[in-house]
Amino acid sequence: MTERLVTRVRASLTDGEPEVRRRAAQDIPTLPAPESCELLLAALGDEDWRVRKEAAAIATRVEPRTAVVFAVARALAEHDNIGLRNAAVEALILIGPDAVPGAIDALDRLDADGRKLAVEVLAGAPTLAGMKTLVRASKDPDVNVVVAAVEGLGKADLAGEEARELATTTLTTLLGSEVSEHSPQVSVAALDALRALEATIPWTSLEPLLADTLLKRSAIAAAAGNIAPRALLTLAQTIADPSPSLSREATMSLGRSLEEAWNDGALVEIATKNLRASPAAHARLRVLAKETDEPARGAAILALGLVRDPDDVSLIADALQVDDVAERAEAALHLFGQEAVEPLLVAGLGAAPSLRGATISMLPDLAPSESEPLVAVREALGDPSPEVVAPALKSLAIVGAASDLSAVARHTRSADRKVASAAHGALSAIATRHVAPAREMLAGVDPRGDDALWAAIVIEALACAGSAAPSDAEFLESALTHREAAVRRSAIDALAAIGGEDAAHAVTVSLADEEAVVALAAIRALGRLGRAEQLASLAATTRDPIRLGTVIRALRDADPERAFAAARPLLRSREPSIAAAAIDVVGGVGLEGHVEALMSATDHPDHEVVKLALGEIAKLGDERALTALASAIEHDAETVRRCAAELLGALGPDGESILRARLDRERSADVRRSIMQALAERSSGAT
Amino acid sequence: MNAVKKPLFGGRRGPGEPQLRADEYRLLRDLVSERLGIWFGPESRSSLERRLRERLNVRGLTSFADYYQLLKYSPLAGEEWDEAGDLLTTHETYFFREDYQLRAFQQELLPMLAAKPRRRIQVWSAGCSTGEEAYTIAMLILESGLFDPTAGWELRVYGSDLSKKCIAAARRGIYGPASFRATSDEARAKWFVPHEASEPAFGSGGSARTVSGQAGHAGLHGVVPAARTLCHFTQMNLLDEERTQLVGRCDVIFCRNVVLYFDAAARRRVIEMFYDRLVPGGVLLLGHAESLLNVTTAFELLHLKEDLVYRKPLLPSSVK
Repeated sequence: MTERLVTRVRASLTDGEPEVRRRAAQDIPTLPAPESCELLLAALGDEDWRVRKEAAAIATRVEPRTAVVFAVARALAEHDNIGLRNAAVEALILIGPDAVPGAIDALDRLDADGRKLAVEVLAGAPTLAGMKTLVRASKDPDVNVVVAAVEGLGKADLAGEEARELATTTLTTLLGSEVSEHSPQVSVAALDALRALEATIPWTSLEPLLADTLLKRSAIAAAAGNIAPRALLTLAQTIADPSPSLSREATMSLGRSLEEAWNDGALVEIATKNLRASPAAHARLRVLAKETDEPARGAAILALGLVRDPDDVSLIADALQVDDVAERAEAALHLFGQEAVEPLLVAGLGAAPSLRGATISMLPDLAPSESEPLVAVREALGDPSPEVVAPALKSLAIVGAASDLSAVARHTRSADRKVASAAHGALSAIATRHVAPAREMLAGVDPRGDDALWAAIVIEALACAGSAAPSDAEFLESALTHREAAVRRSAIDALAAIGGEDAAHAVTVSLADEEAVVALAAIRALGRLGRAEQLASLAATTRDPIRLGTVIRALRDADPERAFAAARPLLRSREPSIAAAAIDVVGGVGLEGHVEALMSATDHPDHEVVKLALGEIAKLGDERALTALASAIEHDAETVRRCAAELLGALGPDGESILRARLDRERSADVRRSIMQALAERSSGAT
Repeated sequence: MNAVKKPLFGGRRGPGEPQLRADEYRLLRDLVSERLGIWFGPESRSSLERRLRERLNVRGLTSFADYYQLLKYSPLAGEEWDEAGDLLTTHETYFFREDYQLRAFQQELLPMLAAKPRRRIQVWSAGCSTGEEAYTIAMLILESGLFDPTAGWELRVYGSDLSKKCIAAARRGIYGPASFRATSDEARAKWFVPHEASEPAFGSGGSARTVSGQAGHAGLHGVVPAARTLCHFTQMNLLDEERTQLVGRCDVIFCRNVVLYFDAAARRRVIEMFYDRLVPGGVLLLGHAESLLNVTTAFELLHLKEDLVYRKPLLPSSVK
């Protein structure tokens, strides 16, 4: 049978039709050695790129791995079939750390072309041993091998902190070396590699490179995040450079440096002074601020904030609508302060609703005590678009006065849920600040009428502010029979805020409400009201998963110990939503025995539950967390291993060791990527 | 690896609005990736927080952990995913976008399709946002003059998108100035008619989220009936295998600037689904920044004069 299969695959790999050969390549991992290895090499050397690509992809599944690695590594010496050579590199990189010994072994026997390829393999499967070999290769007599090795060292962060430090030292030394002086491409590669490692290069090392036109752009890019005063000065000046690409690079680097120096007024002032004095730089920033490319646009917008020209406000305001640069636009507008208000109002006039809304939301931040912005915010309440009304309500939550109560209250019944929710928040906030006027507006409201919703919201706010009135509970009890679920729910929340036996009794009735949203609000209210006995009893009898989850969470608010006792057996519930709620409760109470309890959930059949438990255990940050995560990174499910990798990345050198050990054995490309990402983040976080 | 952007203010939040913690971000990010395929990298935490924060307000939730529970376990999860999907996807589009690719479609692919023995053409605009791409394809098919319906040609353009709001806008087929940024006057005169505004339009500053816009309802145009008749729109998650089966077999699939937002696993799943949905010899067109490198080897590269596209091989009979 196996022999027949080998014969069929061998024949198919010589078929004239590439699609037939590609499909045959997919069967190679099912063949025995040594035929599997032999046919893999044949497929890697196929004349059609699709067959070669397929062969590289399946190479990770061909056994025995060591034999495969050394056989494929020998193909790096190939001179005639360039396709085979390149496919061999790709296959070895996909195989990962297991391929590193083969590539190191081959390096000493290959000519310059072959050494360059072996170096590419070591760069593509980063390990400490590989990086040490790349350091050696960075002294190779062939400059192309040196450049490849230097580029590879830029990935050292994926091989751990020791590798990263080794690479950073090597690359920084290389910058001032003789080989760099003779070969600018080595310097460019070293600068790019250092940037990839997010290494801070001393400005004294970068400044001399600016005189070389070939190196200037790379040096400017490598200065990103540098906060030496001369670096900030040079970057600000270079924005005015006639070369658009250099100017763009300088803008992005300055943006990063400004982020680093943001809280140091003297450093920021260096850039500010220079940008304001340079019309050419200003003009360039305006162009970049209109680009769609996010890093350049964000940096330009931040720099325009330093220039503080009111004519730029509309340009900056445009960026408020774009998620990726909105934060920088907000920061830039803050630099204008009150000066931005008028141009911002003008920018908002006649603009699309999303921009009108964005400008309205900024106004209170820029001039909280001024009347003009407040007038604009109030006018916005009459806008036909919810995208404007909701931000206006959010702004009034911050700066609204007693006179705004009525207008805001009207919006609580909006058909648009965004608006209704924003009105709820604003009404609560204003009522808490203006207790007496809020109390006055409650007079004469019918608890079963249309105004009952806002009245319940106001009563809750007053109760939270310690200004509940004796008549409030009676009003709310009546509102519990309102025809609208939203009113009943708000009445429950308000009763919970008032507290007391009567409130608890009234809320209990709503447990049977036909609307889930009302019944769940009643359960939560019982938690706030401290009704532990009642909730424990409910926990014992409730079967509905969502309801039970809500009950044990509410019980946690009322009595953490009883909540723990109730939740613990639920950690193994076959219903994932119940187990998830139990993890939330057990993790939150932090009582003795909670860690052991959480551990018991790490072999739950639902992977999402396992991840939740691991997340809670990782918060301990101690030996127990390491033990649990070391076990989880061996889990059958990729999703759990990826989660464990990310959590281990935050657990210091011990976590890193576990990750590194797993990286050497991990076969899944996706999990390997997660491990490398965790190691890289750990590495950049440690700097 | 992407550098994590340093937050300058930690994102603006209203009073009492929750912050997205690192552990909550991990859970939500993975859930979004699993359900929608969209991948948020380490640099995107504040972006995810901004986009989803309003949903917490609307649902009256006090933490992103609660929102995760809602999306994962609540009976309301289905309707909430519609809202979340709308907020998490990008709706940037306009008529006659990436004209080099459209020229390749009109001048080279359509003549190939016209030579087919079976007089039926189906094109899928996957991730059509508010419909501009699907209508553009319909206009190009009609303009080619190669497929006369009275001569028995059956023509259909499917547009699908994750966002229900976008599909509603596509079905309305009424657009504002922002949708016409790459439309010639000639094309505008031929394929659109002025529209009296009684309802909001996309790209006009109406109630739907806009790409960019102008005030009021000035400059609204509707797609002419001839092009509208060809286009059928439906809300669809490209990872939903049951739903994607309903599209049927396609001759051409446009999926431009969609899979670049997906993680590797989702990208593979979607591309495999496209392969399955294409007729042998059918063509897949991706955005200019997208490729199938390291995704699949199942497609052949087809070199056109102005573009490089992916073709499902015509299987030889000897191949299973």
